Amino acid sequence: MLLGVLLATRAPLEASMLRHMLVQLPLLVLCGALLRPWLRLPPGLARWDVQGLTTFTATAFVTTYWMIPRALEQALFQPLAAAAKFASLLLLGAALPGALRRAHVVVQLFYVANICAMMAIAGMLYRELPQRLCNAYLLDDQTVTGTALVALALALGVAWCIGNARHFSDPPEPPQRSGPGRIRD
Amino acid sequence: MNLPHSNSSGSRATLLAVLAIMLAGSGALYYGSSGFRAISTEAARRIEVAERPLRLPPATLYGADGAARLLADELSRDGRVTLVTFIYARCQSVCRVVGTELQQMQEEIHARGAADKVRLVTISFDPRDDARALTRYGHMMKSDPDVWRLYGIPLDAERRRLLDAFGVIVVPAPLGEFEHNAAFHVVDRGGRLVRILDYTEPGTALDDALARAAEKT
Repeated sequence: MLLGVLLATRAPLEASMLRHMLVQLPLLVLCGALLRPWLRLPPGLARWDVQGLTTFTATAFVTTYWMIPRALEQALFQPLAAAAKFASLLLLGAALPGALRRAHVVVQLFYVANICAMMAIAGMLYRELPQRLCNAYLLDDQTVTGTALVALALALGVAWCIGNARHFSDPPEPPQRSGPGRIRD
Repeated sequence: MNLPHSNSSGSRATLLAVLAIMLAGSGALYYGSSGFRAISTEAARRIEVAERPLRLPPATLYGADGAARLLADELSRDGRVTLVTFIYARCQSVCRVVGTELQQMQEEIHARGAADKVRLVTISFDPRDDARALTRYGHMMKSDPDVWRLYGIPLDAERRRLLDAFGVIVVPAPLGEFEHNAAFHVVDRGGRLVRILDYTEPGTALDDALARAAEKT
């Protein structure tokens, strides 16, 4: 199972910042989503997660937290931080599919835009800073990770737009005339 | 937008859950960033040491002269405040900069007549640096043993423990080099690590050490 593979490949994955942040962490979320049938989340939980708001808020915090270089590095050296990393991302993966199903497209847009913007800004910071953010990773690795974070933010945004294209292609209201100040002929 | 209407008990439960997540999340971010003051491990390490001086673990040093002595004895030997730096002798990048800075610092200490108040200790974390390599490095840097001494740590376990205590992380880099967090570590007369200053601020580091040396015991 994927979780087993991820646990077994911890050392090689965590040896580089790029693989740690952009391979291991997303795969953990995916793993949580796949583990969903086994976790048997009680159905009453949805009452606490109207429109997926709780899950999305948690997603924003969890993704932000693991993009803090110090937090990522603590997960390397402190078993408790490593456990928190695995638990938080697995749970997130388990909760996300249900939340996405419950959430209105506008709610989704709000959180997706927010999280992608945060990720892109973090990525730019990683790219631009001349000093190392993690003592355990090389500066080149940090720069590449920054680029990859920006790319992932863009990819997530584009993927979400494509996945929800049907909501935009066919506006429910009759098309309005062009906005003020714009002339169409 | 036309959100589907949900029953009010569900809304209240969700509101509570979101609030709880926000509190917990903010708490986690506060913890992860040392109270919103640091996002890098290095910055957090410096804040921690400045707030809580650190007692160093025991270690046996061998000097460029080949003699072995205890770190604690060396640091509290003569009541001087010590600026500790970590290097490896064949370094071509950061420790070169640090080396040049230390050289200038040594001159500055002499110029200020502060050789009886402050001194420099440089420890190599590279097991390949034996007494000969340290001596060669010392010659190259024109170190004056009265002010600036170079040491290695022969025992692997002790070396690791000391680096851990200082919070120095050494990562092997391509071409047999190492990447490591370089800084000036101020160790007080009692042998406690009290302050960490960036390697780009040798002036501040020397001032800090001199100020501590001027304090009454």
